[in-house]
This record gives sequence, structure tokens and C-alpha cells, in this order.
Amino acid sequence: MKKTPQAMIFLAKIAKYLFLIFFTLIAVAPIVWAAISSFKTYAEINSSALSWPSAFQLDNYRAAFRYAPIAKYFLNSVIIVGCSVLVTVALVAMCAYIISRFRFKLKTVIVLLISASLMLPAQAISQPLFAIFQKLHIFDTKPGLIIVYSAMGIPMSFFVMVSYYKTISPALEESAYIDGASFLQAFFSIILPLAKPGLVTIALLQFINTWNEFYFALMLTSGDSARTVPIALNYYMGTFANNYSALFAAVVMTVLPTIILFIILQRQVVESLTAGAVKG
Amino acid sequence: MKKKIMNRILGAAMTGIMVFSLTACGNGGGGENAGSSNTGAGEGSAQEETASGDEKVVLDVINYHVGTDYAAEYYSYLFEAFQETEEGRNVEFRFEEIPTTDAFNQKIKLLISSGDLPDIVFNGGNNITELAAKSGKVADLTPYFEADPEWKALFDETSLEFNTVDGKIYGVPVSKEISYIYYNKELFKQAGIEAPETAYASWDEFFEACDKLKEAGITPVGMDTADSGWLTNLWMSALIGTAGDAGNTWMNSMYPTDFNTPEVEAAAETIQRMFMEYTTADAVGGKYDPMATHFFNGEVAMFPNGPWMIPDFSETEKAPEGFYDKVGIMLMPENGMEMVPTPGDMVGASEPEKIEAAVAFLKFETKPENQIKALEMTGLQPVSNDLEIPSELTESDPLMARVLEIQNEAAVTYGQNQAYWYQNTIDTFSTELPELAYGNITPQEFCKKLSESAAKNQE
Repeated sequence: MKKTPQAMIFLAKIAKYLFLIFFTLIAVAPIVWAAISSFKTYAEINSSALSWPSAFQLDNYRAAFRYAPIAKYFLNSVIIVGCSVLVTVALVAMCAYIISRFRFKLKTVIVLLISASLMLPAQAISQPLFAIFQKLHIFDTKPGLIIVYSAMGIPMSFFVMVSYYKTISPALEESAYIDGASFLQAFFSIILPLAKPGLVTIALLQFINTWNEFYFALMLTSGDSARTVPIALNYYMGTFANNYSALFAAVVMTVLPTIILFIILQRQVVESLTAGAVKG
Repeated sequence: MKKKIMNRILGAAMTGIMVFSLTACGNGGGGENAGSSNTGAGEGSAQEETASGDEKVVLDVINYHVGTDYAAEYYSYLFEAFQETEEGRNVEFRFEEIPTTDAFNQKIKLLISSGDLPDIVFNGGNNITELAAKSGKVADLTPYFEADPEWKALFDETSLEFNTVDGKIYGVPVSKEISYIYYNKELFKQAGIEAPETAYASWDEFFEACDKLKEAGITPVGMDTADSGWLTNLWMSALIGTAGDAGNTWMNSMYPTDFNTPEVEAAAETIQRMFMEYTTADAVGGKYDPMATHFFNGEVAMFPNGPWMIPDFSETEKAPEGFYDKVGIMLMPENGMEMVPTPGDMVGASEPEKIEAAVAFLKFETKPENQIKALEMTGLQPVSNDLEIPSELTESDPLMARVLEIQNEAAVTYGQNQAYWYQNTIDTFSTELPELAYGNITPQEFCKKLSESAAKNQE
């Protein structure tokens, strides 16, 4: 028997929703699992990963604050990550525009240099960085980490933005120039607003990468003044004495900003990721 | 449009509130364990003027005994107590906290190569002693041992030799590592088995007991594969270390490269059998903590580990109330016991007054009273052999008393993988164990992979 078009549409709708529900579950389940585990006792966590907590109490959250200077490190993270996002976005927005639009001498060299920096492993540059930071008196300071994180984030963000600028028609700037706009006016008033989804994407990528960065936060700091959240999470992982309950509570508290930020900026991110997808 | 703007403002406000509430809730956390101040290693002058005009010697220390570390409380006590002594009165500590030995080792390796070591270098293992000694950045402590025979007499030859590089002593060992078997008396009773007084006379007897436990529906042993496979490592070391003179010599050798010996292959075969027949289903891929919980919950009858586990037996957050009384202790079959000296703490200071102050701290750390305090607070076994243990301690902690007693009954002692093998071989052991456990590779192939991994260090 041949199915009616309406039945086909209905089945397709069900398949679509099942598909969406499946991937939503994959994305949300770990977060929900961590949130539920943050209320479980040590024994409950280790006995069964999927059990329900016997009681919803806040002891683990209190323990999280007791074992580690998490509040201080959280604030450091917000400042360092926030500044590194701003620096990266500001530099990349301008640099990528020039590279994508103009032809000039040494352009290939600049692109090659930026690409090469993507291939440098953190371990290979940690010792020179350590020595330079001490000489410049920026070891164990927030500006020190901001510089490193911005420098680390620029290459990836640069390539994302170069591709994004290529999706914006040069005719728009040309029209602006014809109407009497200067180079800066055309860039700030015409191009930048159009590039917003791309900028949001690189900001978000930079935020996630630096929020989770552990190695340089450990190597280039020595005290509480510049250490960030990933180091704080290690406080719950002592030799023969892990406190998973407190760790889950700390994870929930520290992962929330990333989630909230993504919720706020999700539209721009999706727009940016799909930009140019249908361009012939 | 208005709604969209409103949503954004609300989202931003939520993030802001969260940041400030977190900041307001915090109380400094890990800083509690720190001593006086907290700044970077390798910075600042050697001496500082105090209010009273005395000159203070400032010692930089990187401390990994912080957060939930089993010895965090003890080291917090130790630093404070030292400053109350005559030698420590003028010493000020400047701490850098690095939680976990893994992170500590990463940083210390960087500091060894850059030459910015802290004045007191705690030892997190991982071949740090040799690396630091060969870099020439740590002080030779031999003259200090020679000048103070009473202090030197606290350590046996093996412990000092373990911390000697090219004939010079660089590390001060602070404890000994031993391990044996904990067993659940109740589960043994349920299976109708009488636990041996000290140890099973042979591995055959041990496996007979495992069969009886299995028949009674009880999982006989705790094992794991993840995170270096600590528990399996202890079983494997015992199997090799008790396999005659050849096995014992092999298991007491540093950095072995040939794993295809009859003793190691036989041990790997037994480990494969133990995975297949005598342990929990989640042992393959499992790590220490869930396996320990199986033991605490009475789901596993025997569990290999050291004395640092004893405080957990009476911690109600981890084990059920009264669990401490259910635990018995026995040596590995054939009266075997893992015993390795620990890599000792070093002195990274270069100025004479700092070296003197750092050595004074290390002497204080290894004073008999503090070795006993460490035993009491953390379960760390004293590095000195003939310490008089106060009766209050043995009465209040019968399991610890039994540990102190039973170690003298060990007929054979041997090392363990994590102390004696190359790091990459330890990693290979952990990653290949699941393959061995599932029977995807033979014991001989497993040993060959270990040999190949160790050989990479010879290239």
C-alpha cells in the first residue's frame, strides 16, 4: 500500500525529533550526570555511577570551598579569560580583515608564520616562556597569562575570521568608499557589524580553550594571585584521597559560566558556523 | 526585540551574580594549609628583616600535600612545628601549592631544567632524584650525614642507597612504602575459611581460598587496570617477588628491561587468570577508588594496599560504620611483602644559610617523634627500623599495630612497578592490562610489549 504524503511528513517529523532528542541527550547527559553526582556521597559515587543521591544536601558544595581556593581562582579565570578574549578578538578582527582583502608583500610569510605557531607544542615553549616571564617580571601575574592565552588563541581565530571575511562581499566596502567613507569608517561601520557572528564564534572558542587551560596556568604561576579554575579542580584529586563529591560540586560551579555564555550567544555562533554553507 | 534585549541583560546579570556569589562564599580554601605567605619560587632575597630586627631566612617550598591529599594535615603541622624549634625560629616559609604529584612533577621538571628549584624540593617520585642530581641543581647532602652520625643512623643502607647518585646522597628518605593484603573477616567467615595468621604458605593455598570464596558467591580479590593499575601492580609484584631467588632479584632491580623471563611470564599468566576468574567485572578499565569502595562495601574479600588506607576504614564517608573491626591483615603468599625505600626530599637552595636551614628542616622532618606523628596522622611507615612506638598509638589503632608487627615476619621483600620501572613501561603495563585480561594477547606477548617499551629508554 502506498503511504500518503501526509503520513510520510508525519514519519519524517518523528524521525527528525528522535534524531534531535538523541543528540540533545548526548550533549546534556554529562552535565546532568555531573550535577546529580554533586549531591552524592563518596560511597554513592563509587558504588554506582548512575544511582540517584540519597539526599540533596549542599555538603559537597561547602567541601568544595573548604579544600580549594576556588572562589579566588574563579575570579582570576573570569578576569584572565575575559581579557584574553577581548585582546584576541580585537587583534584578529583587524589582522584577518587585512589578510583576507589585500595583497601585499610578505603576506604569505605572515600567514605561514601564524600557521607555524599552531604546530608548537606547549611543552616545547614552556621553558623559554618561563625564563622570559621572569626577566620581564610578569611571571605569576594576570597580564602574563593574558598575553600567553591571547597569543595561543590568535592562530585558530585568525583562520576562522579570514574565512568569514571572504563570505562578505567586497562590493559593500566599495559602495561605502563611493559614498565617501574612509577606510576606518568602512571597516568599523560596514564590515565589523556584518562579521559579528564570526567574531562571536572566535570569542567563544577562545573562551572555552582558555577557561580549560591547565598547563601554562601551572607553569607560569606560583601563587593564588593568577591561578585559574583548572588548577583549583586538582585540589580534590590528592594522592590516595580523591574527593569526587567535592570535585563534582566544583565542576558544576565552574562549568556554568561557559554554558550560560553559550546560551546567550548561541544564535550568532550557529549563524557563523553555517555562514557561506550555501554559497555557490 | 525588547524581549531579546531583556533576555541578554538577564543572562549577563545571572553570570555576574554567580561570579560575585562565588567570590563572596569563598574562604580562601587551600590557603589554610599554607604557612606564612604564598609567592613564587626562586624570587626574593634570602633574608628578610623582621619587626624585632632578627634576620629571617626565607625558604621557598613547593608543597603538593594540599587539598584532599592524605598528608595535607600532617605537613601543615610539620611546617608550623618546625618554626617553633630553635633551628626553625628564624625560618620563614614561602609556599607554592601544587595539588597532585602529577602536576608537581611536571613543574619540578621544568624548574630543574631552568635552574629555579625551590629551596626544599619535595620528592614526588617519577625519577626526580636522578634528574635533579645530574642537573647539579640540588645540594650534595653527604657531608651533612657524615657530620651528624646520630641522624645518619636513623636510616638503613638500602634507604640511603636508593637516594644516592654517583656516590653522593641527594635525598633524605622520610618513610618506607610497604604493602600487603587486607581481608574482610566477615566474608572469610561466610565462606567458611580460616584466614592464616600471617600469610598463605603458597600461592596454591591462596587460590584454594579464592575458589572457596567464589563458591560462596563472594568476589575474592580487588584488581584494576587504569591509572597505572596500582592494585594489579601489587599482585604482579608479589607473584614475581616470591618466585624464588631469580624472581626476587628481578623484582628488586631498578629499571628492568627484560620482561620475558620465566618468572615474569608466569606472573602475567596468573594475573590473566585472576582477571578472568577472581575479580569484579569492572576491574578491567577500573581505577583504585571504585575498587576500594567494593572492599569497603563488603563486595570483595581481599584487597592489596599499604598502611595509608587504614584511616579510610573508619571514615564513615567512605566505609560503613564499624568496617574497621571487620578488616584483617595478612602478608602476600609465601610471607612476601612489598617494601621500597621512598625517594627522599632534596635541597635546592644554593646560598649557605638557606642550605643550612633546609637541612635543619629535613632533619626535623625525620626526627623519630615526627616519623611517629606521620605514622599516626597519615599511616606513613617510619623510615627508621627501631623506633619505639608509643603504646597509646598501638592501642588506639590495632590495625596499625598489626602492620608494624607483621612486617617483621616477612620472609621475602621486593619492590613494585611504580618505584622501579621506567615511566613508559608503567604506562604500557596499564594500557595493555585490559588486552591481557580479555585474552586478546598471551602473557608472553604482554611481557614482550613491556620489554619493547623498556628498551626505548636504552636507545
